[in-house]
Amino acid sequence: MQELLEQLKSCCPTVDFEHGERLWTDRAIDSMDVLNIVAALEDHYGISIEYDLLTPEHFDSAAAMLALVMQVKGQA
Amino acid sequence: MNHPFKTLHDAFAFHTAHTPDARFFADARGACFSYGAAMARARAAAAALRRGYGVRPGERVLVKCDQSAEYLLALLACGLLGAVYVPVEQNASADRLREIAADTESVLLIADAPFGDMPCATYAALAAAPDTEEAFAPPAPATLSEILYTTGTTGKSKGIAMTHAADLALAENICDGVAMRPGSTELIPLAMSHSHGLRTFYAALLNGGAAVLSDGVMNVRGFFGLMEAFGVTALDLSPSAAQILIRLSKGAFWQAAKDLDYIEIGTAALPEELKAQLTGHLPGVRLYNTYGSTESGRSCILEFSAHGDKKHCIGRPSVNAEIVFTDDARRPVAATPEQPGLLASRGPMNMRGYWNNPELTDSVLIDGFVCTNDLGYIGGDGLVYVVGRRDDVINYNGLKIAPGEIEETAERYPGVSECACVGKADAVAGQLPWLYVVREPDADFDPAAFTAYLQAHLDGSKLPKAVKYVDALPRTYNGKLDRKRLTAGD
Repeated sequence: MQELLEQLKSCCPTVDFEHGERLWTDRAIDSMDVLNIVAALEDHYGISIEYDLLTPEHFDSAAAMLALVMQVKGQA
Repeated sequence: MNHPFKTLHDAFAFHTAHTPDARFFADARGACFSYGAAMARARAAAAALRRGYGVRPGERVLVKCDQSAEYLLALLACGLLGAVYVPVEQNASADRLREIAADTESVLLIADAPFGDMPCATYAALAAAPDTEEAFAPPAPATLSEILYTTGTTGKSKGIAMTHAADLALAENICDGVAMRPGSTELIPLAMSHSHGLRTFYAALLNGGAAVLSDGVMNVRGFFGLMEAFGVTALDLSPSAAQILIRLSKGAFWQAAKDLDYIEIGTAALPEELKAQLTGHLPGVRLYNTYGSTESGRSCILEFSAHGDKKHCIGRPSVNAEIVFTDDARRPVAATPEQPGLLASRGPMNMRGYWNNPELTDSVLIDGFVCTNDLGYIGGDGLVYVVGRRDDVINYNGLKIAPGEIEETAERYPGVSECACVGKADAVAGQLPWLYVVREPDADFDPAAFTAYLQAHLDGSKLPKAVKYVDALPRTYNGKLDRKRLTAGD
């Protein structure tokens, strides 16, 4: 998780990823942030996140994003 | 345009009478209204606002945007009643809500939930209002329809007061500008509290077509789902929304958009790279870039799928717009590429003025023209060109240099990816033109040959005093070139 948090912090330094549970739903992150986060996760973990996975439940919290990374890695 | 309407509410009544079952608007939550159903619900909501909340014609009503069909119904209800709606963003802070409420002396807030001690009608309450046969006189064209507040990135935000006649003229500018065909269905992911998306909705209404609202473009799958479910024929995007859709969808956007009638891109300048991408991938789709402001909306429109090679071109004046150029004292001048003037636009789409701010109104609205700080000219081809902003002009030894001409010349040189020319402060000359250049990767680039090229193609007085090579140009959050950072940097 710490590794992921570092990636997220590098994209959005002012967002509280440690505690945020409704980041997308409450607009703590916007579309530009999602774009940067996806690029960072793809680059760091060597994965490709397809657009049909870009839904609120996958980006509302750091835990959800970690689960997404694991899911995509598992499919690879 | 050929229609009998004096306001958009005339068009609303007409379509309700003639095509009551035609789809009018829908949202991503599953709500969908025909013209007949929308009129019935808007009348019910208007009656509730009048009887239950005491709203009277001319009074201001804050409406908190939530990108829903209910939001559009609330706007239509205010219009039926003759009340003036004041849209606010869905993520507006408490301070901003209070500031706008106080500035407009709003009598009511329409929102998903009450806020503080402000009188509030929730969307749920209006949705539950009983149907009515109550009559509503159509609003007079010259009366105020809405007050649109700028987002206020610097200083206090401004309220831009619009009339019903202006809303109709704006809709005409769009319908004519994009050659909107009968039955067109527009998908709008842009915030409906902002003028751009709102006016696209107005155009759909005038056209008797439909608008579908999406809450942004983050949910790409949902966005494509709306396109398919509603048979969307046109998109209204900002440059950043287009770029996000292209990147997040990993190219699936091209497949989803290939059969569209057209895509309109507005709210900010369109980067050349995006323009090239869109024209390259969507050869059968008409592509438009609109120019304008909240004060003078959609005053020019460029079909860049037809004129994409014309750099700095913003297209032709819209059907209701008259474009002229002025000097610094706002006197009309014959602007040329060498001596560009300040763009001003006149027409029925212009704002009435800034709300409660006659001094500011008088400084911007002169002889009916909305005066801008954009520098440009009308070319021999009859199209309008904007080469920069007055703030960007470099004052070198008293000579005014528009950076666009230097940048355009430099970018024609092989191996130059992009560049920007800014004025660096100088104690003697005032400002010195410095050129920042991004080279294409792996380009065989000879700086000395590039300098010789500039010397051969630019007037001596406009030759950059320094050429700096950088990896990238600084950009603002929404992708615009950040000239201030370049000016301030080394």
